[in-house]
Amino acid sequence: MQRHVRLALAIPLLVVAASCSSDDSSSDSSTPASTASSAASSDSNAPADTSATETSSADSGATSEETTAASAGAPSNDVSSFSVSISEPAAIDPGLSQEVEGAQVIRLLFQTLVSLDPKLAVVPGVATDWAVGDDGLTWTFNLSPDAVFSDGRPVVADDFAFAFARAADPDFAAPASYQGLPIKGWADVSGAEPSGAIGDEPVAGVTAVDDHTLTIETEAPFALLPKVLTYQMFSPVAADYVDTEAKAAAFAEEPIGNGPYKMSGPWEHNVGITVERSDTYAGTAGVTDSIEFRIYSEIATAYRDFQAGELDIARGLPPEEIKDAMETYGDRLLLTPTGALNYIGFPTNVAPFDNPDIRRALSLAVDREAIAERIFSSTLLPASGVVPSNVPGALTTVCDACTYDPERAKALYESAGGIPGNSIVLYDISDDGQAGLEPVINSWRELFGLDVEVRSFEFAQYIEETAAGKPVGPFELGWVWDYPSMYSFLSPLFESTSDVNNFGYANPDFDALLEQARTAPDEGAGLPFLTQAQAIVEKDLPLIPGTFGKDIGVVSEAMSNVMVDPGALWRLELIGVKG
Amino acid sequence: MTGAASRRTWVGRLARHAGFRIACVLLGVVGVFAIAPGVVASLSPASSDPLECSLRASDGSYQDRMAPSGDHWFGTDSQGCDEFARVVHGARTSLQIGLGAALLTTVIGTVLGLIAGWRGGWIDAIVRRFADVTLGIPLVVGSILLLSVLVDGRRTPTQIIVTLAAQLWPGPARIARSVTRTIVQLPYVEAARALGASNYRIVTRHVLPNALPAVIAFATPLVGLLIGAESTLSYLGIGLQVPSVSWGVMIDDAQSVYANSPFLLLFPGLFLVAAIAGFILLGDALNDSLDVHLERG
Repeated sequence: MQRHVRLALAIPLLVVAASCSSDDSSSDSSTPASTASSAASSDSNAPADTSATETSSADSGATSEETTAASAGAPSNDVSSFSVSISEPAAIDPGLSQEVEGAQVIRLLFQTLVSLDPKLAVVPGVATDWAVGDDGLTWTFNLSPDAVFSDGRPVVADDFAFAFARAADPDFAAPASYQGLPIKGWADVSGAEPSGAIGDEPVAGVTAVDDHTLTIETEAPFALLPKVLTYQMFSPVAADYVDTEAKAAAFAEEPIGNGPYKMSGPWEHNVGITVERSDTYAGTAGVTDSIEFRIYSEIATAYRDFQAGELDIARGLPPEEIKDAMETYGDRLLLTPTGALNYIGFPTNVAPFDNPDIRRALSLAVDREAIAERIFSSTLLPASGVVPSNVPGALTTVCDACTYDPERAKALYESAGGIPGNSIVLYDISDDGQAGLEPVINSWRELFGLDVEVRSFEFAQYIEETAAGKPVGPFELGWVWDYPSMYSFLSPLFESTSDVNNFGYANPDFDALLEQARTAPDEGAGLPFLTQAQAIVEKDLPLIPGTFGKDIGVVSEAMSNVMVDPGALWRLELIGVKG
Repeated sequence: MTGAASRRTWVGRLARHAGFRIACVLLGVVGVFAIAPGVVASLSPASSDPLECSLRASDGSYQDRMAPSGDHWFGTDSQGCDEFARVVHGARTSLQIGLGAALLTTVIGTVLGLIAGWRGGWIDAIVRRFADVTLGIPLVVGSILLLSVLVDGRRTPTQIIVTLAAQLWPGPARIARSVTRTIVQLPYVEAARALGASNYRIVTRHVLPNALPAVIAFATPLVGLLIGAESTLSYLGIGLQVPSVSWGVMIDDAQSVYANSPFLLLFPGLFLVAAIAGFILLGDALNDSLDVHLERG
């Protein structure tokens, strides 16, 4: 059940605006009185770092060109700082996190073994280098001796071994625990009866050879392991930090990490989180001295504060404001394609959706382009297939039945025998309104004379109603990668053994290709198999690809080198403040 | 009792009432929409089916949120539906809920009020306490509670009607009760009782006809209030939902695109105001014309 929760990410960010409770947490607009300890030295760092990363940013170019001396509202002291909106995170303890709001904070506080650069290539993190043995099973990571936690304590291999054991432990109930399953012994720990103590059972495949050497053994050859390990859950945690219940509770509120920033104080729930640059971090330092996360329950409130000049970065925009905002803010409005797919899935073992031609006909009747452009004001992209085209190796051509072709749809529908009773059930997530589904319903009604019975549920209940084997008709859902790989789409969604394969889809050829990709000597060698597998799914079409996601946000004129990666993560450590 | 002569009097008074004439015009228009929406909608060149919506016109160009034109008299909405067809069809939903809920409210209220007023004692006390408690809950809050707790899945007009009536019955109940209390003490009722008339006969022949004008004068503007309530609930997302066509649903859809397409809010809003104003004016007129006390004066 837990795994499904991450689907929540897939609802376009717009949805958050619809959530209730008007907790106006605009708080005071003054700069927080964070200590100005190393302001001078850090200022000299900033320009160098900024220019170093500038070239890799597609989005930031325009913003950094602006020369406006927007000093209005800038703090008068010499501590550089900016504010950014987030929703109340589910957790900022890396082990308990699985959503992007918490990840925004955690990625500043922690560094994993290997990291993703803004273009999502795997780069060294705490590990300076790594290699896999000839058997393809045993990975050795050499840890940097310079890595330290923000309290000065060195980061050692044991801290990773403990963090992994903790994340696997059923007592801890990490929501993204399943991500560790490729690691040998993980399933034994996570599948055991809860013992009452957290992290007491080591994961057999994870060994701290010495302080600076960690080996990880996988159940089967798994070329994607480094990419999986970039997930925030695999951040190091020293056992001392959480060895009593009180300490663990304090850690959840004010985690001690090894990243470029550290907490300035505990998490103020529903108000904010402030982080400041960590002096102990050995890697490229963060650009600004401190970053203030302001927690908003509604995107609209954050946007109003942004318009009033009280917030530097507003992540997400109320849908109705997007058109105006595009005109008002121009380049300062960032739209970044992300690794999200919104789709309408079929229960492929329920008639008549077991007939691929019916599925294709229903898909051909969907005008993705019009929906993305008109309903979502181009904040979404029409989907060309089942994997977002910015995922490395994904097919970029539009799949055969992923176009809008009313004539062909009609012909195919009729030759396939149509749908008995001319009526179907369509599942709708009530939280995000129905605007995106309506054109689909209208089109089906017009082309096939289909009477569509919409069943709406709030997200939590929706996930239960559409769990594998439950739905009796098409259902809307989304998927966001856990790590930037086609595998992170194809395996969980479509493999017959996956328990989040809600389609009941099973194709032995597809499963065989995924097995080949897993056991390939490295990620690159596995890619062609994944591409072939994608082609199979797009032919079988257990779902109607709808739209690919885009992250949206606006930044103040003072911001420079703003960058959002395709994982919808704002690279806040790289952002500078002008003036 | 006064006979045919007085009936002419109140009809005459009504016909001369300025508010009544305006109400007739407003309700006439809305009424025609509601009675024959298909016929009215087919007057415009666009499709008369409010559910025939497409983001693209037949030539492939986008046709959502188009300003009013010769083809689409009231423009088109975000889904490319013809706004005129939807406004016309929305009238039926609004009237259906307004009239249905007002009727149900009045029937429940009058029956309870009559019983309470006629029997008195503990029945009266219970009905009055229930009425007090019901009136203490704000309409919107109570509706959210009832609709979200009791209704699973798509909400129907009937459920909205029941929800509204369940909260508004104390109004007519109080009127019916007080009229009843007054009448049962009148000499002719005592006379009827002395002549051996049954309770049933006394209530239906003497009490009800006297209570009715006051109840009707109360219930007429109530129709307007209930039409507004339906729109409010739909606007708040707890009333009717797409694909139901109602003014409230349309206003809800329109508010998010108000800045760019204000006409989508204007047209359903205009007819909503017309319908509500029509019933309130009619209620006023009836109140002035049917005033029983005045007549007896």
